[in-house]
Amino acid sequence: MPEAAAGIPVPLIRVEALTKRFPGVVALDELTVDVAPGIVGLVGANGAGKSTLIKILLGLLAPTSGRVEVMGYDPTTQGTRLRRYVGYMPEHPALPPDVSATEFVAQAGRLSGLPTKVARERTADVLRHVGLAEERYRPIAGYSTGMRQRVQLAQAIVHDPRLLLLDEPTNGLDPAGRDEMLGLIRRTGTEFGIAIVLASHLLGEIEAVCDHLVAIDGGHLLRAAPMAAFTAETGILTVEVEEGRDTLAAGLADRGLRVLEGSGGADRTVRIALDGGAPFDIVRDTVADLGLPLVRMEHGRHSLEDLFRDDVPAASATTGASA
Amino acid sequence: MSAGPSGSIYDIGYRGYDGPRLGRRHAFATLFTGGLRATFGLGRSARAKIVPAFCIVVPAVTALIIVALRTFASRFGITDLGVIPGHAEMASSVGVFATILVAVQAPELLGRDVRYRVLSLYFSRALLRVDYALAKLAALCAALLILFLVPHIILTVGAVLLTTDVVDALGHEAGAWLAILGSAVLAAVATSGVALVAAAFVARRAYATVTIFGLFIVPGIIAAVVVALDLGEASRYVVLLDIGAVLDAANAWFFGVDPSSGTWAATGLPVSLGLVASIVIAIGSGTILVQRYRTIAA
Repeated sequence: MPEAAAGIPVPLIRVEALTKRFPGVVALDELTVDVAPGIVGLVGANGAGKSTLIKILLGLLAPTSGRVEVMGYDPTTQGTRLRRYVGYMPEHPALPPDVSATEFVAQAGRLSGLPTKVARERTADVLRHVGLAEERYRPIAGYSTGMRQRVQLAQAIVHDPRLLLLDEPTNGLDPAGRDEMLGLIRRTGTEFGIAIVLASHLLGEIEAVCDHLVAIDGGHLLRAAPMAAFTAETGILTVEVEEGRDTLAAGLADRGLRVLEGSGGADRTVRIALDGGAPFDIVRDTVADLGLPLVRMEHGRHSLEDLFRDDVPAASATTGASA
Repeated sequence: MSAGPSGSIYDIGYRGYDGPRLGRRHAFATLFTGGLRATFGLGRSARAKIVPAFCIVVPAVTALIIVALRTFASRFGITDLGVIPGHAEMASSVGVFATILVAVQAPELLGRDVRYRVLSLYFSRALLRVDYALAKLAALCAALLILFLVPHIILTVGAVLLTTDVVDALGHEAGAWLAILGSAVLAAVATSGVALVAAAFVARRAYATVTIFGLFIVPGIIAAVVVALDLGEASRYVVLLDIGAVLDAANAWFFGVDPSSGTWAATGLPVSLGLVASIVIAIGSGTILVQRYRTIAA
């Protein structure tokens, strides 16, 4: 195999000025992003363009303009060759009810280019991996949502793809099923060595599983970076006291610290901009001098949610923030 | 089945695949065999086998009865059984069962994948949308060919086995088979094409079945009425909407006999027009089907 099997090119996915217009809607607007191998989270609100991007990467949709390259292939013109190395799990249930998981997954393997005998062997393998036992010989109509999602994952990995595109893979699952599915995905990415793009609007999921993140909003790229960059320490120190919150705020301001607005009321915390310094001693002394009951002092971390809040700058959080 | 070096027997570890990855032809063959199996209800519940079995068995039994009647008659030295159908008359009676089969199974072949949104899983594999549409068409065509040819095979085997002059009978039958194949292939493509086009546009199974029956029956009734009313020269051409009559005329052209369709006979139109119309229906429906799948949402 001289092609994708020879090795995964870096970047794995290259998207350049990609635009996709539907009648009346611009789903993707001049999106440019490179994706490296690994487990990459694709986050965005519903309607941000995640599914559209995935369908373009697969060659299911043609871009209006711009360039896309997946593992060195152009999905629009080299779709059939590319798709032998790509697995896809759509966001909606997509299984026929009247056949068994074994029959459906084996057919999926053959359609992705596996010889018939290999498809049968690998079907047994992957169904065991996703945790489907005896029920795999029964018609899919009788499966629970969790079992169906496992079959959908199995059909996506039966042909040992180099890249797995997962669109909201935990849709409709209960919390336990969700955790199991995320564990399976994490394992697929790390143990099986398959590059994964995981689209989700649930930031907790992305945080638990992915090591890179691509955030899109309204068809634009919001940010693309390693996960660590998104959860890095902020420039905010939060101080919580049992009582006397306003006294503390005034005292800290008197000693030259920049107190951020936005807390108060029921909130008993004071937020201070670090501005590059580390005023822990000043805070301690102020609290002691005022005789206030200190509960905690915490150096804040970014959360993924900050990405989608206009009021929190992603890079530096030294300006005032309102809750 | 080999266990991994350190894993337990329950977890043999993930195994990659470095072997050959086949292309569109393999995918097409997979969809074709899958579609053919589905048309006969194989790998499905027992209920799914009822209609296909009925459609295959009844014409076959009819052919067996014809052979038995011929045998019986020949004992009394009767060789000319004018009222008993032969190869040329088989198509019109089997056509009814072909209509039933496609009306029930064409929605199964296409509608199911639309209704349960399976198309996105097919189109995300090593095939093109066109491959999907053509594989389904080929599958239903193949099923209809089996349906059409089984009675002819029985008639031929019966004729050869029952005669004293085997060489003469073989020659006679071989001559008929060119017409049999021509007529059967054309009818299979046109019938499955029309049915699949209807099924491709009507996702709900019951509605699709009704639509297909409608397409095969209603124009026939209209044509029969219009032709009977004798509204003038041009009105005769309404018979071209009657798929059954058109295919019957084409069959008559292949066998060099008169059409058994009363409507067509009443119009006095040449059977060669039926042949042309059948070809147009076959190619036209195939083209519409492919176009539909080029643009269908997945």
